[in-house]
Amino acid sequence: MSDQTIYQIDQILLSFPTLDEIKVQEVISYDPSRELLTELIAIFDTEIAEKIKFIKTEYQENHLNELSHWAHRIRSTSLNLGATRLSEILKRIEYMALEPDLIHTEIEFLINALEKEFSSASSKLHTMLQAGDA
Amino acid sequence: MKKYKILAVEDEATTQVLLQRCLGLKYDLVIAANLERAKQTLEHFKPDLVLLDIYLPDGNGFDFFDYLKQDLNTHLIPVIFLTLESGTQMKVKSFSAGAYDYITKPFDQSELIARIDAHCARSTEIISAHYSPDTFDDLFFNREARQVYRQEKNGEKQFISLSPMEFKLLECFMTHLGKTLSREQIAKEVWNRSHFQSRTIDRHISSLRKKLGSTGHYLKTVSHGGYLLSLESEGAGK
Repeated sequence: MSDQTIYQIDQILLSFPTLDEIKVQEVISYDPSRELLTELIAIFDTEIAEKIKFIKTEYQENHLNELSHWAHRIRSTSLNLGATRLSEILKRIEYMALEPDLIHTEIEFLINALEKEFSSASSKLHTMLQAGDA
Repeated sequence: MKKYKILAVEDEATTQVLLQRCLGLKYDLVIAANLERAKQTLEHFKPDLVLLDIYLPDGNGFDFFDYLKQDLNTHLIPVIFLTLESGTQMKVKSFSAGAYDYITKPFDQSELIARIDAHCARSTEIISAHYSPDTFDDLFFNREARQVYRQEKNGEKQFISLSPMEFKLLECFMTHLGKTLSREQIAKEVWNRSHFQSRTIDRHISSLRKKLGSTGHYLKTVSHGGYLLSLESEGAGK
């Protein structure tokens, strides 16, 4: 799949895993002690939790450019840790927010899906981290 | 091996950490989180290469790209865009503006390093060619006017009449000062031909040497083919 395509939500849920474990293994290969992974997961947890709050506020206040900006900002964070489904949802939000004919029901659905997906990705990342400690 | 200086303009925290981890040991790396910091960094740090994100908190990466291109001290620094944007339109825009390369995130460490090394090596050659000296021994070399003068002992400058081809030949040696050039390289750079009669090159070199007078002996014949312009006596063939 070309990563410049903006997928529909059902395609995202069907085609992208919550966590691309190969990407996580790549990060571990940079630093087998897993200090790097630990540091990145800590940033992932705080940054994404904070920016999801920003996204919700910007949507409520109809600041759609800012909403798009925050979605873009944490897309890198999610991709660097292999959270591919989360990054695709963010990409859809980022582009949809700038569409002239914004479909509110869809963007609300996507924003709600963000929290769920973030929670799942974070949980899987911590599981991988703990598996290394064992 | 030279430790290249890299300026990364990147605001996203995990990418900053990954860049530091992947590039920090191999290169002299400075990370600026926004355009203002990047501009401040340039006041005391001259990078060999810039890694540039497109969407930054205080502006667009293309603004910083233009800023680099407008300053004579920085306009030759190669820029690699490092961005999430994978669309063809943005890639075309970047290359049209003069970017050396375009890498999409998340990046692969080995690929990023390979590209940085390749671009730094190439740009070092370009910069050294661009800033090749305008003087050699007692010669003054005016590239724009296509003229060469000799500084006499009394301080006066004496014009040396060179044919256009002799000037190009001397320009080629000045650009590659201290480097041995094969006849094939000379043919390609001066005559824009890959194969050429060796005798033609030798004849032009001989004529150039005579016209350069006492400086001519610095234009040396190197054994096993080629010529070299150098003030050093080592490797002199003639």
